Amino acid sequence: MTTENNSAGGLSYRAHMAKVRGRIRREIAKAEEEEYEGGELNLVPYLDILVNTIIFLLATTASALALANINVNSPRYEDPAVGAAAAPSQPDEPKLNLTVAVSYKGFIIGGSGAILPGPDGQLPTIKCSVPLDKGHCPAFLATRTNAEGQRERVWVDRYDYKSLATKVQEVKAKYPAERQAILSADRSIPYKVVVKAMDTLRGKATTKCTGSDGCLFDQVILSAGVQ
Amino acid sequence: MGSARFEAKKAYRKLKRRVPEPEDIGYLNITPMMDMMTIILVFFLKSFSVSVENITLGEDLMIPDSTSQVKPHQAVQVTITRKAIVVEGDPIAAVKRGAVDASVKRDGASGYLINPLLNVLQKHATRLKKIEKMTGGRMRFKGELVLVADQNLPYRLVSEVLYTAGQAEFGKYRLLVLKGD
Repeated sequence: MTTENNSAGGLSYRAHMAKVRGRIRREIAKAEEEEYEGGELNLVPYLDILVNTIIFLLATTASALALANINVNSPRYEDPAVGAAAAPSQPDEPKLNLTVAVSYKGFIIGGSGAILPGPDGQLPTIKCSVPLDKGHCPAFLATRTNAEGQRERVWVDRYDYKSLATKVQEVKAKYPAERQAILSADRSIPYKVVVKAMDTLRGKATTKCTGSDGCLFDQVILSAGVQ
Repeated sequence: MGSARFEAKKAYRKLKRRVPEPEDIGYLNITPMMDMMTIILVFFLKSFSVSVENITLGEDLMIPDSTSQVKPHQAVQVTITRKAIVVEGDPIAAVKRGAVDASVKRDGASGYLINPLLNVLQKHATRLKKIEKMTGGRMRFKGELVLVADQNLPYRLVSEVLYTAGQAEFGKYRLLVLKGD
């Protein structure tokens, strides 16, 4: 059987193998040539860089701060040489002129256009929630020991924002059309207390600001300090 | 039997050689992916370059939180850190223990007007007004000012800066805060 096959092929085993080898060599040469000719720019490293940069940018956005704005208007000062800044007085000014002062002792609420009765016939004053020494309460820098046993300085904020909100809501209920409030603070009151008081004054932001929608006095004017 | 099988195999191989082989995918074609990536990258870079506040918070600058939901927008930015007053990235005056030095204020220690700040802001106001003129009122000068201030600074310093800004015709303050809950 085997001898028959060999003779049928008409070639000896050796000649056949030589043919096969030659063909393999040609194929390899062809493949190499193709690879050399059709060579493209290797974009893989570039792509790596791109992917890394994009991931980096995405990561930085994800940790980006959620920022917001508070829109306030300029206080109208008088010449500082003359004295403390006065509340703005213009003919077209709304009549209430709700003024909230952040003092060392608490919030003082007043209005030049109306009488807002306090408990003892005085201006309503909201004392801080925890009265402290020397009548000074509110926000101060304290040193305390944290959980890891290290001393750290922290701001303690003892202002009574809740009572301020209640009081301002009462005022708003009486004067629903009023949207303007003047905010002032003592000189060393921290900025964040002022911002928080401003938040309390503004209530929820709505377009009409009627009071029933949770919006209180959304047009805040900053003014100079009291005392 | 064996011979027939061999012949069949041979014929099969012959036929197979005639049928063109499907093209091999030697590697993934990444060019479209790269196009896409480049576009995304350019988009990100552009959107970052115009983003309003690229402020870096840290020890000297922690802005307060607020319930405000108003979106911040572009305006002249004044930053008060615990160490300096900075306008649009340029340091203007040093801040020490929550106050600027009395010598840079027009009226001394009790004064409100901070001279170098006023100069810089007036320059900004002039520039913005020029832009308004050149664009034919399309980019109006609204006197808006973004204030980024450290939360523990005394109100006095903040009000001095705002007063000075008011003198330089920046009367609409946008206090930059962190959006709380």
